[in-house]
Amino acid sequence: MAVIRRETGTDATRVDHAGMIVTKRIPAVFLASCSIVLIAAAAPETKVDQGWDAVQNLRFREALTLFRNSPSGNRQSELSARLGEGVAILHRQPTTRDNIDDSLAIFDQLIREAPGTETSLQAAYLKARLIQLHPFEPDPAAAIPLYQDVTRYYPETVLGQFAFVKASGLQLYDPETADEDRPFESISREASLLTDPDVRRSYHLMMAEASHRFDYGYAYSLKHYLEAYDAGLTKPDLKANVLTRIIVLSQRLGDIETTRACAEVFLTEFPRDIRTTMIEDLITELDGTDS
Amino acid sequence: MTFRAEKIMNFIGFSLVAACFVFALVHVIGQSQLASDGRTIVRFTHWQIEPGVREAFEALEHEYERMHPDVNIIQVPIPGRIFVAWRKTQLVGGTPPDLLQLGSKGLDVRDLARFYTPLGEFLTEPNPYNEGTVIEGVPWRQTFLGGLQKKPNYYPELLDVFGIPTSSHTFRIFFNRQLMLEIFGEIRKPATFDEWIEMCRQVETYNATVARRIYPIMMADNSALFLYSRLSYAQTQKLTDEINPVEDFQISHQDFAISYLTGKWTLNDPAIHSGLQAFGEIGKFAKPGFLRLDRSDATFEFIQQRSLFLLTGSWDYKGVVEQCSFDVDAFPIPYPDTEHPYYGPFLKGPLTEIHTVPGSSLGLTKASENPEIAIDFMRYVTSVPGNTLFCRVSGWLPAIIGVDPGETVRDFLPVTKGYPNGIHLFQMGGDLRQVMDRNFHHLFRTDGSVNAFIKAATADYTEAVETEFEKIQKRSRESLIMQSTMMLTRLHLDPDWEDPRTRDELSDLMEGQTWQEGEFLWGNLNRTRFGK
Repeated sequence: MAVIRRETGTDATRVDHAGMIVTKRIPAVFLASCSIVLIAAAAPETKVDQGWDAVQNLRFREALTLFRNSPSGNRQSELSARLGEGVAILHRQPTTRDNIDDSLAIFDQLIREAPGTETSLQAAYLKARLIQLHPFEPDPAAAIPLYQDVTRYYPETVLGQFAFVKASGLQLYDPETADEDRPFESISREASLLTDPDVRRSYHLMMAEASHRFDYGYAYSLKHYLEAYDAGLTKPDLKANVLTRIIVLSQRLGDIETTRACAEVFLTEFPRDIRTTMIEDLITELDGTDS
Repeated sequence: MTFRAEKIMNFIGFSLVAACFVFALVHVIGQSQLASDGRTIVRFTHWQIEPGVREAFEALEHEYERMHPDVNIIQVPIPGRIFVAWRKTQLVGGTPPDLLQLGSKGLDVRDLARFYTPLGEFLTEPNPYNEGTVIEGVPWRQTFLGGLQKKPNYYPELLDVFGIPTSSHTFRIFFNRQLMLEIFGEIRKPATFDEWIEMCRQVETYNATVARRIYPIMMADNSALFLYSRLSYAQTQKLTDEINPVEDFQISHQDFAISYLTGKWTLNDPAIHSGLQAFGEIGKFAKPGFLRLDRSDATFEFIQQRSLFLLTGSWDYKGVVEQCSFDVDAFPIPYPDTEHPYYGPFLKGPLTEIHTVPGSSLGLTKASENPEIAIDFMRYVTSVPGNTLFCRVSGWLPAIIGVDPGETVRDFLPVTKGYPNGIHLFQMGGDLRQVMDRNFHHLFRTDGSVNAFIKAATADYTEAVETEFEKIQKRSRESLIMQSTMMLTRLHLDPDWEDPRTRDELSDLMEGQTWQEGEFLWGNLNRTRFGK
């Protein structure tokens, strides 16, 4: 049976609990004292971790207090608390320009003051996200070089590589670009730097959908859909959609082997999908063509 | 009043206040997690007060308590009308039950994260109550009909499952068997839309021969809109293939709006026109004013034998049958035939119901003092034996693979052969629904027509599509920011990826975000195309 992770008590309640033990037995007092010392020693990380835990549970006000009150002394912990503060301010309700400016200022500070660190990487990534998705003044074009910087400075990291996918998405869907000038080929050439399998899957998915939407070429879209599928899609809805698109495009291109193989996989894996009867009809049609 | 009398009145007043305070105190203290006999109490609350459902949950409680004599399960049904306010009060006050239904309005993801426990980690193991059944050993997550990928079960913003569904539903046309025999001399279940229309015409003819007035159809506001949506879904199957840029027979809300706002279809499109025409045609046989009729009023009229057909869902079956003095039967919505000279060219075929998503989901509150027991109770409720018991007593459809719901609800089982949905005019909800509400009457007035509806609705409709499109883009942007935060949080809490779930969650998040972001960027690009 799985165990529920319950909220841990505050330091104050732990101390009260220790106080009760003191009244019982001397060895217990000794053990309790050791515990308190250990808790106190671990306090800086604990407070920051509690802050991130609060962020995970969307309790941003509480997170902000925890980050702001986390003790100084440990550089890594301080950086983590500062980043957490930026994140908590960003999500604090109501969303205001001041909050967003404050968050951006913190991210900028971390990028400047802690270059090469994990925290700086995350701050740089978040800054690019915020510039792209700003609630008041989104500026997707300005976000592209920010993402590209993240990729340039942290090419080996998952975030650095994922930033490449983000920048590519913005370039492909740029409203100022004519459909025939969309940079599919130049992005493809640069994609060789992507080594993380999950990022590569995202890349192929993004390229496949964009090329499909812009009618860049059925074969081109099919190639990327197949790559995304082979990389192992995890979301059942998306997987069923991608399989359907592969079936449609491969049939149109006359690649009946792929059509049939994917149709059979579809029926096995998604027997309760809305498109089941259509796919069954298709297989019957293919059988008729074969005979 | 004398001074003495005033003092006495004050004393009585204060005494009453004190008595109420003591009573409230005792009541609150009495809400302990232990029953007077020492058993551990687990409470669950839902708003499904339809006949049979409470009894079904009661049967589950008794069975579970028989297996676990140290546990006392308490059901607290709250009517839907006050459920949202009640839930808010309980959650904020820190006194919610252990299990609380999800899925109604007034609960955003922040509330969910704050008050409900993510359940993903419980769902990886097999459900022990499925031992000896066809799904023995199957992970709990994979035992639900239609899966757990959608709200109110899975919440993509929080990357986790929060709701465990207990049942599923289909929409049906109920009919009075006695009345049908009286009018037609036999039981007929129409296979096509035309057959249904013809039956309605014959009821009108029959009316001329008898003293009482029988309406062919009784339907309430919501069921009427549902009927329209199904007819339109069927009539726009081929149109949807043309306007869906990614050709997967499932159009997103973004592409619905983009295709309309970029002029790929209009309200005058022949396919859209035919869906409205079908609704107008059948609606003329319903009791006038049905667009303002309440569900219970429509049901009451049917029970009073004032109509042959009643349009409603499987959730009402048990209640209707219990209240009727005649036999009730049902059939699925009959769609126009693909050979039909007017309707046929727009159709691929009748709609499928195979994808029916399970609902009536319960979530585990963080305030629960006995989460393990609450979850274990849910395991039983959603096991093959538990869900079978639930379905047999409630008359509802199962949420679990391998459950035989019994002969009585067999007519309600989803139609598994059929084709995907097209579109309908208010599928984005919100303002679009209001435009429909305000204008549908143009179809049914004596001088009404589809053209009158289109003329009246078009301007408001376009504005409403723009509004709903902007809402979707806004929600999507907020969700993308939230997902980025979740991603970084996961990296912070487990920087070395020691927990195997970290990799899985990040993988899932990257995939989902890429999918969503593609639609968002496509939406932004198209905003400039229609001048926003």
